[in-house]
Amino acid sequence: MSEQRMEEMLAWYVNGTLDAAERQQVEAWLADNPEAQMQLAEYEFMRDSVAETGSEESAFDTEAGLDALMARIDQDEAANQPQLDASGGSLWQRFRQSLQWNLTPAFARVAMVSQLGVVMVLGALLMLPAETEEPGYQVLSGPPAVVAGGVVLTLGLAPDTRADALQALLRSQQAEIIAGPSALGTYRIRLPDDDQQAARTAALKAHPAVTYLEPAQ
Amino acid sequence: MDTASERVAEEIAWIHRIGQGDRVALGQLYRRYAPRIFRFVTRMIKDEAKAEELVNDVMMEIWKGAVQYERRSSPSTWILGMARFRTLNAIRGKQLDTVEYSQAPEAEDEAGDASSGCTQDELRQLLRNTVARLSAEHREVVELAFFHDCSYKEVAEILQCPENTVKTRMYHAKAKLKPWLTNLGLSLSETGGVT
Repeated sequence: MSEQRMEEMLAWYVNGTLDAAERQQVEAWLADNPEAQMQLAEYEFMRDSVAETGSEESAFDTEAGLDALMARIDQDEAANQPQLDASGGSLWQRFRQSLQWNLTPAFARVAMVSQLGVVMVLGALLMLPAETEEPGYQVLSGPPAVVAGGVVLTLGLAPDTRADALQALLRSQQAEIIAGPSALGTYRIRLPDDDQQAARTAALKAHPAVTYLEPAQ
Repeated sequence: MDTASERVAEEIAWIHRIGQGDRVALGQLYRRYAPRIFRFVTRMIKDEAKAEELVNDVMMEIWKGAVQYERRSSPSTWILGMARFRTLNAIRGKQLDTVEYSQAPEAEDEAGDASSGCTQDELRQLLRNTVARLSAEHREVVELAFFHDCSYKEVAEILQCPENTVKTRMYHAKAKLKPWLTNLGLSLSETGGVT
């Protein structure tokens, strides 16, 4: 380490804040080095001079300052108190307060209440059910099934499926047609409500003529 | 545990209690730090009334922000860093008179004349006056090292500059004071040599 670098460490050697390794380096540099020792003495003189509080300095009045601080904290907390109180009122009171209702002119209050009424009426009208719920289109699976008992499925078949093949297929799984064919050529079928439903569905799906089979909505 | 680390642990405990709204702990920290902050601030601005106000601004900030103290720096570094930041803001915002460098320590003759026949106490007072006339960046490093006992790492954190800059500033501050130190007639026999 250069002379300057070592001297740069001296101030902190003097104030006792170097770590052990740095302190050892400085002490090795100081040993048998009168010039370095002179530098050290100068830093020590600087420290002693600066650390001493000069008589010319105004003494800081700690207790008066502390009293002023505590008073400031009290004021600060008192200033925050009304806001806390306000937040403790009822919802309606807080709403009125946020609107500064009491400071609002009478004609403005009437206008605001009227506007609120109109908004509420329009909102209620929007909530009423529409006259028609027809969506104007139909999904492949058709409208939701309303048939009680059994599972209702939408069945799609290959275009060249013969009627007798369809009948044989449905009969083999005890299925019955309850609607169809639709415009898309699908049928709504119902399977019996028994413990074979899964197997029947799997058998229908596995048939080469079946192109689509999903639960009806 | 040495005295310095005991002091730091005590201060950390106070700050923790302050974070819980303990005014007694605030009073303890205030008594230890307010005079130090005041001195630190009056080394930057001339206005003592404003300095007193800044002391309480800093302590108020501690009161409100103690719960966020994360021990990444020592309490003294945290507090003095806050004091410096607030003072610089006050200087920028209100055009406060700063303590400026005023051609002092260059004059070897002045140093020699002033120091002749002085006692050690008087010599220290002379040197203190001279330090007060260093440039702000040199003066604050000297103050932080020798009055506030900060390590160079802490000084760097407070001043927000690299550690090497801190060391170099101290080196140059000492070089500025060299004529005074030389003419003050220091010798190893007077100072006791290496301690």
